[in-house]
Amino acid sequence: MPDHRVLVIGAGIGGLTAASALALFGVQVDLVERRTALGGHAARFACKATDRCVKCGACLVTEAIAAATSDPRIRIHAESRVGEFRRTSQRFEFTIERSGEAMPGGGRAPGAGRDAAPPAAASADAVVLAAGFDAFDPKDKAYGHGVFPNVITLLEMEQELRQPGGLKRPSDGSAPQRIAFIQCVGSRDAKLGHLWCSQFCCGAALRAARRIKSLRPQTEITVFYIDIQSFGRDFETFYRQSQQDLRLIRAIPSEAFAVDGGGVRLIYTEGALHPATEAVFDLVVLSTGMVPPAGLDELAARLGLILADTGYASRDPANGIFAAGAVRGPMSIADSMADARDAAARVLAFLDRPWSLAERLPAAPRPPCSHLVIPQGACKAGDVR
Amino acid sequence: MTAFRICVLGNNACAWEIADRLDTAQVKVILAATDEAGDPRPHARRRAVYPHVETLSGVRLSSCSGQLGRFDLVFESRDAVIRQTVSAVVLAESDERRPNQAFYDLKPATGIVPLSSLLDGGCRPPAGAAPWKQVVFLNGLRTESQPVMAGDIMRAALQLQNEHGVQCCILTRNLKVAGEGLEALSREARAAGVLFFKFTNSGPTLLQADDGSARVRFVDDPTGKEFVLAPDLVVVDETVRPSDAATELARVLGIESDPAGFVQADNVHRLPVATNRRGVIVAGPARTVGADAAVEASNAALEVLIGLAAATADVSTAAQIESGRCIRCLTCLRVCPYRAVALDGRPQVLPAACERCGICAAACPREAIRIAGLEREDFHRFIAAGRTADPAGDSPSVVAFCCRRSAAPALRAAVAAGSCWAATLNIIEVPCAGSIAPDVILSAFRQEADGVLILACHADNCHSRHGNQLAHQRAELSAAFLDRCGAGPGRLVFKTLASNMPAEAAAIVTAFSATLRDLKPNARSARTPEKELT
Ligand SMILES: Cc1cc2nc3c(=O)[nH]c(=O)nc-3n(C[C@H](O)[C@H](O)[C@H](O)COP(=O)(O)OP(=O)(O)OC[C@H]3O[C@@H](n4cnc5c(N)ncnc54)[C@H](O)[C@@H]3O)c2cc1C
Ligand code: SF4
Ligand code: SF4
Ligand code: SF4
Ligand code: SF4
Repeated sequence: MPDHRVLVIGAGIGGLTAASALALFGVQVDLVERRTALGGHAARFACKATDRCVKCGACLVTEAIAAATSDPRIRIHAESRVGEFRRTSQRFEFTIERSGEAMPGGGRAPGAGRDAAPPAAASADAVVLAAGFDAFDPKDKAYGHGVFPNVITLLEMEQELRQPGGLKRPSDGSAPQRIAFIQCVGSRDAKLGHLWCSQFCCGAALRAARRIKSLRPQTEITVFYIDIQSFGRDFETFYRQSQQDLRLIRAIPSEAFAVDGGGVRLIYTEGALHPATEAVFDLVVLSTGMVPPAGLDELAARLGLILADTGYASRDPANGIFAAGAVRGPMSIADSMADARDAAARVLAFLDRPWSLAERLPAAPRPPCSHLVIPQGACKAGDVR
Repeated sequence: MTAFRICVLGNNACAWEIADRLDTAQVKVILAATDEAGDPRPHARRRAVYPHVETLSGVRLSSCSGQLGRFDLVFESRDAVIRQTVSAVVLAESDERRPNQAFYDLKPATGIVPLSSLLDGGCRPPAGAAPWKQVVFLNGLRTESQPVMAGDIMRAALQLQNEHGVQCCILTRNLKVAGEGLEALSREARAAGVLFFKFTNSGPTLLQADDGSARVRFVDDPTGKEFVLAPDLVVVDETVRPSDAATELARVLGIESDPAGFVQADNVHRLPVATNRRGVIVAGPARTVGADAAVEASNAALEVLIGLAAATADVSTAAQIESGRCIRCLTCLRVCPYRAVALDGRPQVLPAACERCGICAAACPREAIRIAGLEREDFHRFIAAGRTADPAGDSPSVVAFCCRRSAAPALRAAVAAGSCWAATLNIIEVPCAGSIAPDVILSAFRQEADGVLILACHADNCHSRHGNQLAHQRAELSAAFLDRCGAGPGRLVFKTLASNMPAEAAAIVTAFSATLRDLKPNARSARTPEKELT
């Protein structure tokens, strides 16, 4: 059996899924992740279940991390980046360097510690580019992000929502009574040249809003939007419930001002028939969209790729190099997984690797049926936290 | 080189893409279609012939028994019954577009057409007819539209506007641009002169004259202007649904569907292309709206091959029914979420279909089902093994049963992040919360636990469909029993979690321990006499 090696850049849900799929077909994978933590963005999201799962898909990343870290055919290089990179006649040769980029917010990477020492040089037969996206930085928008403490981004809200008890106001730790979400910040924006809908943020905002409501029903939530996008398999029902639970206003506020007590005043107009309206909120969440990840142009130059006009990568950007997940443009977790498996299939075809090799591999581990006692911390008895 | 045979059910671009990929992998394919099986896009084919693909035309699947590795299929055609044995099945049927005409109270007329008719006619005025001056598109005004629909409408409008000089108006509520390139397309259409009218709470009034022609009247929200349009053509949007053939196949195959009828459960654990039945895979337009045929095909082909790799694995660890104890109540047949119990005179577990969730073993009234590592003795052993003496005497002894897909990883992450509890906390990881039988819960109390936590997945997030629900019911039953024994309330708690909720998981455990500490004086009275439990 030919011993193929593939370099996967980025260990978000896309890179993890591609790496695991390739490994299942006997390919040796070098998975390079610039952060300490594996899982990319999805590993930082909160579960948004109300009385039931709302199918956001965020928890799937836990299994993707577990699968990749337990596969001996995958070498994980966390906190690393691809250094020199060159194409030889048949293969790719590159170095893996320390990236020095820790996880945002500190914290230890799930599955980190298993990363191989960076080899000085490595080579691969093909490359999967799964560098994902960056959340848009709203500092230049007139919403005072970074200036007013109670204006936060969706991603910042996700991290806050992971804490038991739910969302708190950054300024004073109180529970916000009136929350506004502003959709499409940095997406669908011709001035910025962002001629795309980020696709995830309507779902992320409405699901988060309903999660917040389920934790604290008295919270008043307003969502400012242009168009609400469909998401999930039962959108009609979810949307109807959202219309009951939330105030959906079809307008995008022009500006935000700080008011005494930490509040944020928003000004918006619903149309010619409506006067300009002001409303004060305890917390404003900016639904910042996706942009191509920082450094993608520089990475592309090193890999010898030309990016699409949008700044994202195309599907097969160069011979032997395949793009997967949100690095190709906005897509959801589920779509990134499917896209990554498609990329893996294209890699196998490119390598001319017989697909039926999977049958000769040791079978994928089946769910354990034994029980596992989670190792206890070094607690003294009674030291219950 | 391989004896695998895969049955692909369907006859669309996606089905043929799947056949193409498997053929490349030299896997035999039987492509079965209700109509005349043939590649709908012969020009797009990579090869002129598919040496490994065999077609069955005009057949309907009437039954599918067996398991991953060997399914016995029965097809019926007009004059024959055809039997096939295959290793795996891929359901790749088509979707259907149903015009939303009825939603708009529009009677059929020449000036009112569903979108598909316009597209099928090449998106131009019919030859010989008077040229169109104005065309109005109705998009998602009664039901929520989809990006595929919005994309088709915008492309059609753009073409009519650019190539035929037709003034196009798109009337929509939410414009669905959450698809590749659709926001850019909407801007291109606007720049070309297509007018978009968006409605929020109101909608246009559609008036149909006796000759069938329609007028559209509305007040434009942003400008407040009133419009009355008398278009040459009204194009009505459509609802994308799985075809009846797909729905019927899902029934025959015994796989779950979503609320809209698409042939995959609304459960994230089935993503991207899995079903509740191992070896039965779903892909393409009947799985979900707007699926990319090539991506779906890759996923289906990989899933099939990975699944078959697992099928050849050791299946001796699957659940087993001890026929001597079985009273054929068929509870196991009903509760197995994976269709892994078959009735062949008596119930039998299909080992390659069994996921070892443990649900049947916990539900069997006769304890006739054995699963290695998940026997009653295993539970008792784990409960006993975790029982640690508490010298200080104030840490309650807690048994926490945690689902391996949600609570267990969440708690593990919490521990990694620095949470710790007294050694009297005994965390037992189970493959599914549905594997915990009521007597196991009670046995934890018998073994001097002060409290028992059952931590399952959120509703609708259970890999084993209803394992969490069964766990909840059993917890309530056991709690009622404990109450009758005078153990007092609060000692048995059921909660749901997701794997990405470490902080929440830690908080639940900590809060539960604290509650138990308050209940301390009653602690040992929770022990109930042996005989009541058996
Ligand atoms: C706030 C928010 C909420 C969301 N909510 C949802 C939701 O509810 N449901 C849903 O389906 N989707 C949601 N999304 C979208 C979701 O995040 C993406 O679909 C998903 O993360 C895409 O996965 P990915 O692997 O392609 O990219 P990423 O998650 O961005 O992962 C890319 C990885 O590559 C690494 N990387 C980048 N460049 C390099 C480099 N040069 N070298 C090495 N490594 C590199 C990054 O560090 C990262 O770990 C949300 C997004 C945001 C911002
Ligand atoms: S809401 Fe999202 S994170 Fe929570 S269980 Fe459902 S899919 Fe998982
Ligand atoms: S998903 Fe919603 S919020 Fe996000 S860019 Fe699209 S329309 Fe705007
Ligand atoms: S549940 Fe138990 S007793 Fe009933 S049929 Fe199944 S194995 Fe037999
Ligand atoms: S263990 Fe689960 S999958 Fe296996 S037969 Fe029993 S209920 Fe079905």
